[in-house]
Amino acid sequence: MTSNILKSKLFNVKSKYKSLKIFTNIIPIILIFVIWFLISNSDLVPRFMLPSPHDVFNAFSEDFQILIGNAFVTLSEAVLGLLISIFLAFILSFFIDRFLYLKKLLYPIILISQTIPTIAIAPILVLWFGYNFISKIVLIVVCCFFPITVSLIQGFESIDSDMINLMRSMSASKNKIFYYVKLPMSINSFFSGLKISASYSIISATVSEWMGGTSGLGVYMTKVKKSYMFDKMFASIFLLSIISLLLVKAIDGIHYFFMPKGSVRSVKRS
Amino acid sequence: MYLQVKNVSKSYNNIDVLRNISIDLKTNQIISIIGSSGIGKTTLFNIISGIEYPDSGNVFLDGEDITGLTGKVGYMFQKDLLLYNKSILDNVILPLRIKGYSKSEAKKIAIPYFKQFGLNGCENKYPKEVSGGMVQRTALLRTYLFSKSILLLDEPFSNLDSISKLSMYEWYLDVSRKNIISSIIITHDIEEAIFLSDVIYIISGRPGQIMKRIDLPLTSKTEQFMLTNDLVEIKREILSIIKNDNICMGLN
Repeated sequence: MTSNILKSKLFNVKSKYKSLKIFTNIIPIILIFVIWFLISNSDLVPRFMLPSPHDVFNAFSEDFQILIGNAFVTLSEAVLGLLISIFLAFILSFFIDRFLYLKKLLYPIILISQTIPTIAIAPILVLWFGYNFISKIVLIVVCCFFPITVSLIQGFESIDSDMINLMRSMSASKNKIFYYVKLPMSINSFFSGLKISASYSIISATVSEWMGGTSGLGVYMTKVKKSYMFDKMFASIFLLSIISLLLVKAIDGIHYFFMPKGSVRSVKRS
Repeated sequence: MYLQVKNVSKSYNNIDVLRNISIDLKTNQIISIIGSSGIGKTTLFNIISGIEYPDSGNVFLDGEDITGLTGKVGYMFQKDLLLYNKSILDNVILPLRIKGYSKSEAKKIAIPYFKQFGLNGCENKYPKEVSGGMVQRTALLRTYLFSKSILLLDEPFSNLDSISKLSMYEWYLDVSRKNIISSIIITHDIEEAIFLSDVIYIISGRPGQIMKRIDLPLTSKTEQFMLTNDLVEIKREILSIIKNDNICMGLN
């Protein structure tokens, strides 16, 4: 009886703690909006340079159809680039895992490719591939491929050597070790890399659109910037961050869906 | 099935780990290997299972030289090494899948053993959802399904509490007898070795060598034997050898 009362009290404390956590997460966001509102409504900064949250909301509703249309283009580019990156990352990490000398050979190149800023490489890609879809996809792939590849390789390398030895003791071939052990056990690591790449994909899609094109949120942003319509600029920035957040959440959902009950799901429950 | 380990020696970076180890395992026999930590017991298992190659010596199975060949004996590691993203049934059928059986064929082979191994009703559960004893039984069944004749068990019951251990010993003896399993067990638990084994090998010294072979009477596999003076004598003998070893290693 006493233990039941204690358990119920503990449950109440936990529920309170949970709602407190949500509350503390929202507070800073509300605070930023309040400060933004106060500054934009004061004479500290000209209104056209820092529109109020209300102006941004108005701009968003005014251009809603155009924004959504452009957002769809940006999102399509990002998703396609991300899918190609996943495919290439799987192939490369598989071969790097199989042939260790490939890691020594290719890892420096992969690392160097990541030191080049996206904004610097974008004009060259436009020069090579033109103002079309391909240059945008290539840029996204260049940016997204690395985190997925590295996370996969790290996932493969972090597997308990005893597990590999157990499989070897059963005369399992390298392919079977990869299929039964390395691949499923690297799934968490893969999704961590994928989440980073998801946000990179939106950034790189936008940057590639800045360089030129006919549609997409990046193109929309350059257009409204030239017209000094900063309220619309802010609206597109908000939309970009919402898309990025939704993409990461979608990946979280896919991760949760694909993981069997015994692993991530039970961890999440506890 | 008759397993023979003949004069096996192994060194790493010019440091001798094992020297002239010879062990004979007959059909349906249980052998225990006792020795201090780091003495090379797991290395010996790695050699028998073919994961590692000895510097000298050979391993024979029914007269055939299987030195350095994997897939000849079942090997259960110290850790359960279950795939935590797979169900108990999928874990158990892993060796069969590796051997090339289809999933349905493998399930047909494995399911009849679930009752005998005390895993009935756990087929679709995940390793995190069952007890420590069940996890050990799953790992044991997986090992057994790989090789139904010879099993190498590296501290198979070390993660269990003393009450669960006793029932597991009785269960394992029963399963071994019914399925004609021959096993070599690495253990630190002297009473476990006495209760389960027909023969105990004590590995000691630097490099690890077999210091003593103790042939146990048939009566040792009973709870009554645990209360006799004979048990105390055997324990004293084993402890005196291992104690010397620990003094040499500075563990005492």
